[in-house]
Amino acid sequence: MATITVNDQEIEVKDGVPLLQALLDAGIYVPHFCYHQDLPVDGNCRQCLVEMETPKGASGVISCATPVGDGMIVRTDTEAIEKARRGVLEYLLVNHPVDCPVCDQAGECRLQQSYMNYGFHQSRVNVEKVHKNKTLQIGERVMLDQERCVLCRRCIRFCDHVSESHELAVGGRGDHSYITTFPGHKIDNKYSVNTVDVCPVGALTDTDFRFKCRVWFLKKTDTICHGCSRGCNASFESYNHNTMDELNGTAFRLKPRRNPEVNKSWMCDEGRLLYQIVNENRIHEPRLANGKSPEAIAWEKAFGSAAEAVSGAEGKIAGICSPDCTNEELFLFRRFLNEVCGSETISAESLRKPGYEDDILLRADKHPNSKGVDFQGPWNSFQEIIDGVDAEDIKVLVVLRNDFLGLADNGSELGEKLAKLDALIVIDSNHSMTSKAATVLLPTGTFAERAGSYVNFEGRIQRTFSANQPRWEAKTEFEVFRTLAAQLEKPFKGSTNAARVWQDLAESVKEFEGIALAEIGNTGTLAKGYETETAS
Amino acid sequence: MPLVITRNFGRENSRSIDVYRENGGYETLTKSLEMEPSAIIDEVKNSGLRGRGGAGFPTGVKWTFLDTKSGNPIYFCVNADESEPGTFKDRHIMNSDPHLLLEGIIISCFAVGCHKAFVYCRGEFHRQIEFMWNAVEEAKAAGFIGKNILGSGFDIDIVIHKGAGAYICGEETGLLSSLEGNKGQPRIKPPFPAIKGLYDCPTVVNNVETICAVPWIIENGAEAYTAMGTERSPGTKVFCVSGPVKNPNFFEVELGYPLIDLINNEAGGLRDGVELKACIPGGSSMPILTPEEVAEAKMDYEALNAMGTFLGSGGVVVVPHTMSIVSLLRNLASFYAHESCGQCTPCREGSGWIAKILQNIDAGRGRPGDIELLHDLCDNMRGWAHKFHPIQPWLQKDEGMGGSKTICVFSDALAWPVQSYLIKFRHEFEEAIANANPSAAVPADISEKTPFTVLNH
Amino acid sequence: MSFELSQETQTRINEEIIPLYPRKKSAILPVLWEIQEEHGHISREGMLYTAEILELPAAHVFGVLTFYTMFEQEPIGKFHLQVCKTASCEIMGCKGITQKIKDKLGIGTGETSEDELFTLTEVECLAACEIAPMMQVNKDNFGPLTPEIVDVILDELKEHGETKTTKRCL
Repeated sequence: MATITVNDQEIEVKDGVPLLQALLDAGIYVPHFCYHQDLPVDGNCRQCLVEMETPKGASGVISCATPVGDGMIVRTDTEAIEKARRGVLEYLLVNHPVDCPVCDQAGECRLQQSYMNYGFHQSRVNVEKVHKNKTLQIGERVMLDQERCVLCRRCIRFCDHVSESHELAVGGRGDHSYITTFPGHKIDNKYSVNTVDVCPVGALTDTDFRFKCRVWFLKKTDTICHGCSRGCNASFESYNHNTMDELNGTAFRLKPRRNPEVNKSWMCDEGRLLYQIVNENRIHEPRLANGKSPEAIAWEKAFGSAAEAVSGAEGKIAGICSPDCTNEELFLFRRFLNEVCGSETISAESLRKPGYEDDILLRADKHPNSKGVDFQGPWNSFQEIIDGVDAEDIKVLVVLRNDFLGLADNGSELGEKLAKLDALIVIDSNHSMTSKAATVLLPTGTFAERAGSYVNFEGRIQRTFSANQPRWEAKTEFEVFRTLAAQLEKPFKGSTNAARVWQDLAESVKEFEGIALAEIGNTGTLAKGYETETAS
Repeated sequence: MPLVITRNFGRENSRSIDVYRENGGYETLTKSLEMEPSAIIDEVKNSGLRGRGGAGFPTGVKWTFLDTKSGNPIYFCVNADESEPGTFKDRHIMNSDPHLLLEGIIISCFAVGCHKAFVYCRGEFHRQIEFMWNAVEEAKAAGFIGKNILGSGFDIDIVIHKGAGAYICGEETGLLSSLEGNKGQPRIKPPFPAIKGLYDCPTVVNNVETICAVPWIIENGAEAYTAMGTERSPGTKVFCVSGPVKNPNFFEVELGYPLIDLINNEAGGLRDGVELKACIPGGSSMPILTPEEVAEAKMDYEALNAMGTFLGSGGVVVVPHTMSIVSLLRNLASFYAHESCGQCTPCREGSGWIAKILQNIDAGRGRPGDIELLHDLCDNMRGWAHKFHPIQPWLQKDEGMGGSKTICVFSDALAWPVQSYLIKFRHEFEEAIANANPSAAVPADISEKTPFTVLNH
Repeated sequence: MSFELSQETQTRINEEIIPLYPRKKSAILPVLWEIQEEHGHISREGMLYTAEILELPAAHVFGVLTFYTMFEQEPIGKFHLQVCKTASCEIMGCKGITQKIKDKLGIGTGETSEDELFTLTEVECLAACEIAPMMQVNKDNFGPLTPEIVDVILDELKEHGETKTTKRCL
């Protein structure tokens, strides 16, 4: 640690970090564009100027390129620095097109924020602005507007140092410089949308989000991407305007949330699109298949049918969930099967095959909670359950978030075996092959409509939060289990209080022992026995 | 006065190694190889030789900054990217005496322990590059370049590297970036090239003229060099005089030589019917001098600093009464706007803006307030002018601190002329603005023709 | 359209030029020059060739090429008339020289004459201020110029492919 004096106040900071980072960490905001915590320093925007005492007197330096040293005396508020700051801002705005009314970045634009906080000056520009290309689609998901670009080169540094795909460069020279790919080439890597995130202005925008929604209508909820076992920390952004608006709850995007231990500031392009399942292909209300096509019904009837099926099975019930479930769901599901359905037969196996993996973020295991499943064993295998169905030892199957019919290689064969069941109760959020085969279909919320926790591939427990109650007629899984239990006149211990549920979990799962919910917080914590694992 | 740099110029066939050797060439190299390298560095240090490219930093001292303990190879780069408007001395050196440069390089490399030297030559010097390569081949054949030269155990290789048209590659870190295969964009200093330069290895960057002085200094001794010039600016310098004088050319004279003599004697004085309006003393980046100041000016680093300008590269540009200062400034500002590398915000955007404002003023579209605006823009891009900085006097303000707002001093090289011309010749700008019609139509191609590539995506 | 470089040039690049530099990347300018010397310009394929032999990203090569003024991406005329326009040359009358060329050939700056013989560009200081106003024709300097001298130079270039009356200045 080092001690530095900032604006006459002594503060303790981490030694060796850039002065700018130390100031930001201490809560002293210094405006900046080109500096990014997870990218190499460039020092080209010149916005982060601060005054530093040297033996020769005060000196203006850029704080991003100045490593902290013990005893430094720094000022961020002198007249000279404020003038220099305003000067840089004015320069950034000389050729910048005032596209705010049509620019997606409005509301989360660093240039707008800087201007409101440090500029607020009248424009003195009395010459023709430099014109460059606008609306260049340089990647499947990336739209480039060269005029808006402030040439901070964060996008280039990302492509050079993180995705190591080197698609971007600055062409030309002087104020005619422009960001470009090689003519005819595109940004072609699995992390391209991160360039949109790092772009401080609206030069790089996401084609998927283009013109769809103003960011001030979006509510942000902390979540964990469920696309693979990396468990990138994400921010789920959904519409949230006035209470009467029908659109409320509509998902618009998933953006990364910084976690230096897991995903730094990045997410893969694929994972970002997972917000779409919140809007599309949802099961809106319970359905019943009476030997005919499934029809929508009220919950009362749905619960009744399900309860009837369960009691009629007399213990010949099995449950199938998956590593897509949160730790809490796995725990409560097992409890439901044991105590309410009287069965010990349960599988959490998924038929989803491993996919693409690299050493940046993507993992081959495309489930968010495989480790969490491991911790809460023992489980039966999927095959054991199917064999049991086939042999008619299992008459009722309860499925929670597992589309085995859609994922299986031998779907039709499986389907035939399932026909021997008295009832197939499916609890899921989106339509699938399995939900279509259900005799009782109970809709529940997506990843964005439940709170819980996952354990990622390296044993890190991470929390996900709920943006809103499940949309349409869907209910939380806890609600489903509890109501069914009540119908069957069995007690069911659980809670809507996340801390209580976690405490329950921590008492039963040895890897969670002694870990309080607060400890997990927003950045996660390593499970017991995994503390020495390092992130790859 | 003995000639240090230009002694062989004018001889017939002066580029040939045979002619060079006939007149004592490469004998100093032979002598140097028997000296201790540190003794050579000391000699150069004691001679007080200062960088002749523009910065005027003591050469021997620069060599001592080299990190000799890094374990990395040391590199030597000769800056032959002569692009400062008004300067043409290095071109003549390479035309007339390329072997002098080579001998200087080899001696200097031996002194600092470098085995690989690059001569970064601007791309427009096609013929000069040919001459340099020829000279390298001749020197190789004679055993002065290669492995174990003259049996000394010292290896040296020299590569002539061709640039491709960028003034900013004359900035030392811009040169290194270009040499590494990137755009010629300068780097943040510290670290300085002597610690982390080419390929992050310790590197020396010196101007052509500076290195050409080394053989003479080693041959005749530091004292002989300090006997010329002034106390803090010893030796000689090759000045370039251009503009409407009778004999525009380069002239090697002692430092401290009066500027008015350089113009009236060596350069033959102004052409008939031409009066002196102003003079740029050291290349376009330097603050301008009025005729009264020209009469007083002595061409050495300290004297010009005291007058609020710089010796720079020694490119003297004579401005006649027929040349509008507004036009001249517009011309220079367009040059800087075109040559800005574009890396950092103030210079990139500011140079273009300043150039456009001046184009407007020059074309009769100036507005009231333009002069104050230009001053403010320059203030926001140049380094703070702390006490004792040469531009202090005419700026008339103590900014109380040091430091810079940009990555390199290119922005200062733009701000110094703009502000000095606006202050010293304010009346011309005021007149241009007073007679202006700001609502006159702006032509479509207002900015200089830097063709904007149409991108195919 | 396939890109081809003569065997001689390829050999020179691989055996003489690249080994000069401790890092391959540094050879980018010499390689681009070789391509421009042979073809007169550097096409998209030329850039991709450079990227391949030097193991550099294509975008990087493009960025470097467009930074410098001397590389041409399109073919230009047989004689590249580069008229200096900075400082001393403007003081000494470069505008008259440029205008003379424009009038005589009927082209503007950046343009090539219809017979594909002449391309006119205005360039920054060529470090030849003592012969201001001057221009560089391909690789040679000519100055001090007057509109009359320019007249003769252009006529001789067109007729003989070289100047006869006006000597080049080194």
